[in-house]
Amino acid sequence: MPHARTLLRFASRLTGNSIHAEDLVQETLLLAWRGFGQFAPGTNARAWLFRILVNVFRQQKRKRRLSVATEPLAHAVPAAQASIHETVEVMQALDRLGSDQRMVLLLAAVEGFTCREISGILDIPIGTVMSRLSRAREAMRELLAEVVR
Amino acid sequence: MNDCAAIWMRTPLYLSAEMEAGERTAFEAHIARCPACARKIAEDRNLDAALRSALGGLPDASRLEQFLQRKIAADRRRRHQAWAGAIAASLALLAVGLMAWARFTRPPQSFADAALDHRTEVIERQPRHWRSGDMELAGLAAKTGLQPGQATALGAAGYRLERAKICGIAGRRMLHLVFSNGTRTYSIFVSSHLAPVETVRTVRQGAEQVAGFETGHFLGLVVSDGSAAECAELAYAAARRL
Repeated sequence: MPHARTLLRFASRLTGNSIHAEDLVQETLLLAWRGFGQFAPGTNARAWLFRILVNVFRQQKRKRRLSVATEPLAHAVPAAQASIHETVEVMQALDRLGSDQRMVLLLAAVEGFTCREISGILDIPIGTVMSRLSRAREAMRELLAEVVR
Repeated sequence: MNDCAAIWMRTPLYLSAEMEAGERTAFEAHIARCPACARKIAEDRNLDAALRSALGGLPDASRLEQFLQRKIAADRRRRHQAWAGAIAASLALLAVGLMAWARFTRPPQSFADAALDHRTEVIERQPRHWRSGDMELAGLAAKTGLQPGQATALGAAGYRLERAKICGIAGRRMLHLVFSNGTRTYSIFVSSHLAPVETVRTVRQGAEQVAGFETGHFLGLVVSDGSAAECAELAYAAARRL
């Protein structure tokens, strides 16, 4: 099932809860399956799936008042290369960002989307993506410096 | 591009390689001579690398994938079942429609039986045991629930009740009355019957025109060789007297 693992990785960091993350991806992929007719062939399928996921996340958040990123998920999302110590530091810093900044940073740095693609996924102007990304990177640098101290 | 603030604002586009060639050249020219901007961009790159390193691993989604495959298969089955259900419902509706169409367009059996009786017994004069005496006619009429004199009065103006007998029409006992004005003859079949509405319906049955009517208490059939309108008029005339 293409993109299920990248969606789950993003959802895990977004919700901070592996059960909610699985629910979110499950709902996303079922909606995509049922609404596949709305997908424009030739466009970016991965960005389309992430856009659905973000919309479902926003709806669920409104409904459930999800507490975002309250527990580390080192056990659920394995680190790529960093040590466990480094991973925990990065996650602690990331979890202290607001959800808007965390979303753009994850989409850009981890998922590799361009600013234009992020603008489509989050349905916000590209200028907003750029400013959120700049502020998120700045905040992360300061938070990581704090965590390390 | 010399303003450091502008450089920092455009850095996300540079890092995601979305900058057009001209702007990228100017951007790189600035960071080549601005150590502060160069350091900031290097820090952003390092931060992204650290995030990818810490969070770039892919989680195991096999349980989720299995669950989704089951769910999608069930979804497919449900859709097929919904289609099958819709088709079955449409076919059932069509069958009911056809039955209703047949029910309301095909003349009832009683019309065909009455026309046949009229043809064989009145026009072809096949031998039957008719009653024609006043007492006998009154007796048959009473058995059908008609008031004394009512059977005679069912005929249209100028027609006289000539003879009568009890016959079976579509499984129902009916009084067959034959009226004549000397040149033309027609039949009225009557039986007692409780009907919710009063109706008259005419149908061509071979050479005969049949008009069926229902009053509050009687069911009647008029068979004549006239037109539908004439037959209906004879039926109305009889129905008014019942």
